[in-house]
Amino acid sequence: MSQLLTPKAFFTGGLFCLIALSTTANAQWAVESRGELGLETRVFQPDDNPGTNDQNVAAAARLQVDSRKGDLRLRFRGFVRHDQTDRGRSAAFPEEAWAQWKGERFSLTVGWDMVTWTATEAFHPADVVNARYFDSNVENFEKVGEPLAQLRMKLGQGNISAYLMPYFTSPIFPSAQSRLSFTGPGVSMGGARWLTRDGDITRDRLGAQWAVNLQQTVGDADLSFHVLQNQDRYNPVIGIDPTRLEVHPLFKPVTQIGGTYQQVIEGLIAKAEFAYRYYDRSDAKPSPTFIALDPRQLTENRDHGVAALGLEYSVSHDIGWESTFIVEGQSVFAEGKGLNGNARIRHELNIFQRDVMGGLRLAFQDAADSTLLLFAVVDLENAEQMFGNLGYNRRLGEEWSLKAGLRFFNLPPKNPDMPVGFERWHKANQFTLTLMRHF
Amino acid sequence: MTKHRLLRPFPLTLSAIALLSGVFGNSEDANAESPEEKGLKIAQSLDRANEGYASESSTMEMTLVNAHGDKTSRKMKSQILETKDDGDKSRIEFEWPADVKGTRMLTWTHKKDDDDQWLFLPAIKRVKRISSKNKSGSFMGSEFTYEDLGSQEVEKFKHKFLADEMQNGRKIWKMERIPTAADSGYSKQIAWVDREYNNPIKIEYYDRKGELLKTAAFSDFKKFGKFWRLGKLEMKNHQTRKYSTLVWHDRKVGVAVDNALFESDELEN
Repeated sequence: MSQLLTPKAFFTGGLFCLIALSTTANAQWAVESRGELGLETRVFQPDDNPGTNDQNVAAAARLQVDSRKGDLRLRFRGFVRHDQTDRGRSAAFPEEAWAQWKGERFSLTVGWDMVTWTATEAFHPADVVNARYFDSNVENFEKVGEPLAQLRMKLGQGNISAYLMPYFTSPIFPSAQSRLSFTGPGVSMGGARWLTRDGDITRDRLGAQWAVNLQQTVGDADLSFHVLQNQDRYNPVIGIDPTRLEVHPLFKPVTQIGGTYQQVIEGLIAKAEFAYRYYDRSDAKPSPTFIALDPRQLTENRDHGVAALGLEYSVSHDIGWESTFIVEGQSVFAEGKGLNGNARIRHELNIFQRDVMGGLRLAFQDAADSTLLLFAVVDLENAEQMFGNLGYNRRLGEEWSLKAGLRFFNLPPKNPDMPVGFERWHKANQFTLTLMRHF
Repeated sequence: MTKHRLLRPFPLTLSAIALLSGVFGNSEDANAESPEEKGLKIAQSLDRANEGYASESSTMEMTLVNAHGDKTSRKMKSQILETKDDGDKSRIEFEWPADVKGTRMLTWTHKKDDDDQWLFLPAIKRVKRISSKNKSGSFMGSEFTYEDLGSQEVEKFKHKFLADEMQNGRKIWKMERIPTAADSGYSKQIAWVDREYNNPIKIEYYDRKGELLKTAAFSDFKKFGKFWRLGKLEMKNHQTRKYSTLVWHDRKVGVAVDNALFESDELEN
């Protein structure tokens, strides 16, 4: 396991697990558990590069244990992936490991948690609290649990929540052998560096991060608004530590205002998500241990807005099948020349800088819950750039499931030194097959 | 799923029987009404008579049987909250198969408007609003549709009394119900309503072409206080030869439930 979060994280997560499990001996605690154990395979179109892995075979497991007694709840949910073909891709992290007190109007949650602020299916500009596991599906990177304290209060038809996040959780990057590497074949990504609001570059992971989120149901609509101040985990500045000749990601402090919207209108589900991100520092004091490969990433104004809109409509067929049509679009608005801002900066800031996704989910409505998912994402600024997905999943009996997928990417060639944005998926055409046992 | 017939089909209290006897027991008075007027009165009385149950909880086991006799099962927990002036609220948590364990669905039914529905997906910890417009979609791959299990408000049908009948020594009203929603999967339903249970014991569902599609059989009725509830529901699809059964366990009527559980932002708890 090359990218365990921290020993402290696992100690705490394991402690929660032990507490939850130990309560099974106490009849006053209600305990529930569930999980899955699977075999994942991924085969890329060969890139004729001996430095990369074209095939991955991994075992993956997820365990969730819930324990409840009166107003108190404990949860542990952890994920482990062990890749036999690329040990650097292996990872283990807590998704949730928290204790919660829940009263009539207030609740307090302390521990690792996943925060979901999203409304759309493919683009998630507002959903940025958690760090991500970047060697997973590009439209829905897996989330890593974030240590936080959340105080929630019922308010109207919804709630208002305040979050305090004292620890900077680093994303998990693809390995040096991964076809999706940020750094090019053979170059490992070192530990994260953090730009403080004073302009210092540090490895210290402790610092104040906070958020407030208001969530309300108004008639047929669900709305949420948030303000978030944290360390960005989505747009790393890649640099080198000349004292060690290592590559590291640097993350800047950012303030985000954003929101989500979902509404049912005559069977049509309308969705929207937006975020505006202000980078609190666009410069850094000179550091002997970090030199940005592209200094512009530390000097240019990278403030930007992202908006995503979507529509979803389902229809049942006489033969019993159900089709759901999904259309979504996302645009990035960056500082720079004209309304479109600086195209290069937008390209660096977001994989989907001006894209449209069209999709069909066909549910066969059978006992196996067989479902076919077909979608394509097209870059509106360059229609030749696209990514397509064909996925199929079904249950095998009542405890097993099978998931198969084909992904096709038509993207520009990678910059061999430092692939930018969606370039990392250049020729990353792939077939995936996952067999999972649920319990 | 909404103000679930699967939880409370055509419910009626025994205390309402006297009222119903007064309204419908006199055949001369009844004859003075049109079949539509009498059908509506029966439906309204059934609806009124069930008021006051406050809340309900149960676990349910659903068995799906295909044309070859192969069986698969589903398990879920259900809670319902009665509301004044509008449809009820329900919350269902799926427990089996294992891959959907923890998935929850919240429904706010409405007397006239489409229901509000939300789905909680535990894998991504997301609450998603879903459309209740697609009524003819299958519920968990079974022969039940969302429409079968959903809100059965009086206003959502045109009612017609067809006949008084006797079946196995029991007094029955034979009724016709035509869904008012244009997107219903059915052209009509024929229901046989037991006058003691004040619930249907059988419903025939006719597809949009007017052909018999499915038959539901209701059985194992039990009395909870003054409310009758069924214990088993079997739905046979005549066109596919598949059938599904739904069996209730641990049903509690009138128990206290936390109202906050029926808010969309509480689905993840």
